[in-house]
Amino acid sequence: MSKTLILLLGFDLLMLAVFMFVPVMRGEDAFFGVRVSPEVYRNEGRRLLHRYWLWLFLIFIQIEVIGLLVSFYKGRTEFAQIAPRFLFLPCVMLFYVIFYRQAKRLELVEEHQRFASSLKTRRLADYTNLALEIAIVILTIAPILVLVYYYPQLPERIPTHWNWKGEPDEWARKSYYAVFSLAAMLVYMQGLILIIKHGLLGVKMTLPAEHAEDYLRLKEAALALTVRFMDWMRLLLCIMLGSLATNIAFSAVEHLRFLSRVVTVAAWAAGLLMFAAIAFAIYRFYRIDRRLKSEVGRVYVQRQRDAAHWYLGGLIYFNREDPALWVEKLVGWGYTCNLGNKWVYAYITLMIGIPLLLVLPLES
Amino acid sequence: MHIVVDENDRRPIYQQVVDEIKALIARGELREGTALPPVRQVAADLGVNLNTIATAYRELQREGLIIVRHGAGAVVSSSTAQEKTDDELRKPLRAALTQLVLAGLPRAEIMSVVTDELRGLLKGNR
Repeated sequence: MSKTLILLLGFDLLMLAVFMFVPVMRGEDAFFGVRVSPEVYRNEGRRLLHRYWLWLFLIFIQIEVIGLLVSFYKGRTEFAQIAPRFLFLPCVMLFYVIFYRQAKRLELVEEHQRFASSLKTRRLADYTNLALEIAIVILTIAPILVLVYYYPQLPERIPTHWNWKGEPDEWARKSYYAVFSLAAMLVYMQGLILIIKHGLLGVKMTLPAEHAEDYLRLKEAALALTVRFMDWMRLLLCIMLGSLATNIAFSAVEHLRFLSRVVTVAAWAAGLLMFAAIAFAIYRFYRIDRRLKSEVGRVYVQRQRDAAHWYLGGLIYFNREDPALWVEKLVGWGYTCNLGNKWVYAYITLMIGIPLLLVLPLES
Repeated sequence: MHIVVDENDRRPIYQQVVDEIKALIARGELREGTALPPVRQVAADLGVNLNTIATAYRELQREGLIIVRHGAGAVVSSSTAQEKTDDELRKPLRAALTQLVLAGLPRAEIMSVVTDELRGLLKGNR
């Protein structure tokens, strides 16, 4: 069995686990993205969920078996392994939506709702850790300074890619673009995440009139957690991209080669810490939901009017009437964009379009 | 600190926002110099149009309770509303008392309702 096969199998298993968990991760407030009563959730809901799990499992087995059979039959692994993989995610999505439609029939419609709004302004300064920001600024600028200083000493052929041991395995002709693109990407990512962070502080918080203060406190804890998570990710990104960027100089200049090993370790450490940070954030989000359940009784509150604007079982929010740009995810933790807000498209361009423009010329 | 809006209330949303903020100022929870959140934030939280909240803020400014500066946002400027004549202040009270009398409440009960409401208003347990 090849390494890629095991990796892809692992990826599919992860997808399977995520999609098994997603319909129930927020309990009866978002069962397949639909609010149902606790009784329905425990009875019809449970049966619906078990049917859904059975289907997912069958799909998983089928696609894995197809993948394996085609690989053995053709004797060529790459294509045969990857093709069925493209089937898995759409199939799982399809079944999620089919079961969401069934869950929709169980929806609990709340007639009379009262909502609250916090009178506290969320300011960027209150969500900023100054020491961390200083570290980030230094770590963002340092790689650029290193590269500028060593630029004249760099040979005509410079490394652009390294294997896991930190040995160069791809090279490019020396140019400003080849040398500075990683550092530029780092600066760009910092700016981008800051813009997103600033936007997130204006996230819409629909508060129930009852237990408004408790609900608000825990939702603000979730927001603070998200923002802190983004800050640490920014720092780790600095270390990772900065290490790779400086490695251009370190692995090309003879007397700096010992530093190449140091930055390789740093890049690996930062990468691993990112996974640790993700796991930690997930755990903390889970804990906040548990506390919401016990202290407020609700994990997610929204007006009936907004509930109709979630699509694909609560995965996508599109509401032209809603002035909010960022809303809390109905299914899942964290925040998502209101795709009905035209400003979102500026965000998406910033998030995907510009990094692609930066990276594409490097590939060719 | 928060304000509550009820979709089933007969008062328009902007009026409810005005009344809620006024109550907080009257109770001393919102002090002079406290900044109110931006219109965009309140509008998003309550899921209403930006203009609704902007209208509420303008109304509060007209009554001299807040100052709205461009760019700086809204700030509570005073804990007392702009001077109204004695008659203007008494008119809504008279209307409310008429309702209570018409509801057939005896004098003593009306008095206890009034003191009750006043205490609730100043303490904040509505």
